[in-house]
Amino acid sequence: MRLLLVEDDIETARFLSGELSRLDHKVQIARDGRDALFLVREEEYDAVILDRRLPMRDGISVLQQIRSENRPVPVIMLTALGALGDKIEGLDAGADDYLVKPVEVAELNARLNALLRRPSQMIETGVLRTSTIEVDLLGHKVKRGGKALELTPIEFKILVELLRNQGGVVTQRMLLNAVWGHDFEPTTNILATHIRRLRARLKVGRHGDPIRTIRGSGYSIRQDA
Amino acid sequence: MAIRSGQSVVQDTAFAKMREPKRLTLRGLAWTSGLILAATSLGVSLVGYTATLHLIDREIRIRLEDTAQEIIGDQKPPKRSAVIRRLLAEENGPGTNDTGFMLIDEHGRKIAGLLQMPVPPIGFSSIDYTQKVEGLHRGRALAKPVGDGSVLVLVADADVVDDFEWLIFTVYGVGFVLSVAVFVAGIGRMISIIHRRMDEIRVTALEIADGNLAQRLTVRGYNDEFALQAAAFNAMLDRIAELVDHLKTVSDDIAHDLRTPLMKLRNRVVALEKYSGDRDARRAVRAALDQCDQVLALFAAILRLSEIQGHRRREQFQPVRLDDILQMIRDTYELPMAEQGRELRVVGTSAATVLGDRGLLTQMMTNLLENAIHHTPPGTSVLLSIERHGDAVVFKVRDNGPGIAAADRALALRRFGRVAPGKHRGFGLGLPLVAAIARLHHGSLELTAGNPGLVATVMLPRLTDFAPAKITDKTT
Repeated sequence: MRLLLVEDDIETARFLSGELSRLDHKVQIARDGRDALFLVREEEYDAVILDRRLPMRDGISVLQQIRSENRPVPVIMLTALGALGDKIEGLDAGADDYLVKPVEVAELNARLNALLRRPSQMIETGVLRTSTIEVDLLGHKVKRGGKALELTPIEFKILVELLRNQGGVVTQRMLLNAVWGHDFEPTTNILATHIRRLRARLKVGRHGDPIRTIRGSGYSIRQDA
Repeated sequence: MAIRSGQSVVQDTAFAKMREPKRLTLRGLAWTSGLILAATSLGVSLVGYTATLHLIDREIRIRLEDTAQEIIGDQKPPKRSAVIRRLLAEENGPGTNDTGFMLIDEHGRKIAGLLQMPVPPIGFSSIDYTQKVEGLHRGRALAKPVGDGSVLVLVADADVVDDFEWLIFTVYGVGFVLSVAVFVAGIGRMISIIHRRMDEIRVTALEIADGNLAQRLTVRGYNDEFALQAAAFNAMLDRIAELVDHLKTVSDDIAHDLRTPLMKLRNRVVALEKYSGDRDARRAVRAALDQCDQVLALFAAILRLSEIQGHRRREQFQPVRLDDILQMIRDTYELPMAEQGRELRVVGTSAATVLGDRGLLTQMMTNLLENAIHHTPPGTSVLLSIERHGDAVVFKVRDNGPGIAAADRALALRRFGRVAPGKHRGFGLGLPLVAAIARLHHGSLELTAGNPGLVATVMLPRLTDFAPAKITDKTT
């Protein structure tokens, strides 16, 4: 993936760039808002990782400019500010996702992959599927191997988030955001229980557990499951 | 509206209605001044009325005395025929229309004069309409011995003009009523002005107490007392806001600026982890990473608390149904808690709408539940409830765990106040955060003994006049 990393702190930029390169991404670094805007206009990127506080021109302003020029490049806002007001401001300005520093590179990578997968089958059909699982988003219906399953609303949302990112990793944070929203930060491991129940429900007949746990990262659903 | 008990700890009673002071000094002052003015006015009127009558009476007496002396003359003993002549001359003379004359001889018979009435006692006496003197309503009589055994009687009308007494009473009465009316109107206007200005100050002060330090009084004009007062009040607020802002900026900057080097440190530890071949070294590096994360989480919590206390999020308040959030919490926590051997019970989920921030209210409710989970042993039962109490919504989290001793409850609500340090992880910011969210929503948090266990009660003002928008089908 070709990425533009906009970060004024050279040490943080080098660290993130190194880690992302290790994951086979090609990373270009911009040190301020003006350079970032210049590069976005001149080059083609798969995604932009944009720090919120930047010299010359701040991240929100850069993002607004990018969007006003109708550039569809996915943008992940990155910031040291953890306040929810800032998250909302970032998303309102047109960010596709928002991460608070310090960022786990695995988390950032999972979100980058998720961003590139977004325009998928479900937009056209309203149905998400693997070889054996079928989820009707409008009718809130789930089938495994043709057999209808009863899921709780929480299990349904988890399954949808996994299917939207099938083939990729969905982190715990991503699942929490998708199911409960950005403000929900539980201190107990509630997610594990709901994943466990979802797994049990998805096991129908000869069809086994379709969800893989990626240690230290999150979960993924097998496309061939 | 707050539920109080001997052992309760009230964190915030901002929502509780301000009790009106029983002694309204301004109104009391107005009433007292009004009564004093009315009494004074009445007194002045009475004194004036009495003095006027007294003055008129004195004039009449002097006139009667002088006339009598003129009729009797200086001769001693006077000659009766001369007395009669002078009497008749006075009686028929000009300027004595309001005076009656008669001369009574030593046998009590009238010998001269047109006056018809019984002989009054010697000296001055009062006459009223009961004596039935013709053409006289109220008057003065003077009976004076002439010196030859006869008595001269003179009667003068005391009413200078017709119904003089009534006229003078009316003049003073109207004066009294008018002065009282003018005073009442003036003082009423003054009180209403003072009340309005005081109300402005009170409302502003309450808003400031509620966290809105940007609020200021309107300064109208520049030279009246209220304008000067408002300007001084605003200057004080400017200074306080400046100091608070400075303090807040310092603490936020500390939290924020420390995060950056900490994040760099964390990055280096992450990098170090990759190069640690040895298992023990890797374990040590993980522990260091864990410590970094804890400190970063602490700073995030401080910044979050600061953000909530800044009240900026009130701008995004919307109607929120707490019973919906409660349902979501039940769906989320029932199974995980059951797996840990804890029971979650939810009762009284009547529709309860408040004006607020859904995300924060969710966090507030889950924080209280997770607090109960973290501080109770497996086997504990946690009861969540939402009730409506008049114009308030009451959310309660009741557990049957070990509870918190009465003396420690205030500590639990204090920033960094940890009741059992070392026993549980956490920074002691959970309950202060809940209290801050409640306060942001004009509500309160209270911890009380559950006997057994602990009861955390959040009271929020209920949005009473809110009706959810009906979904209408435009095609029909």
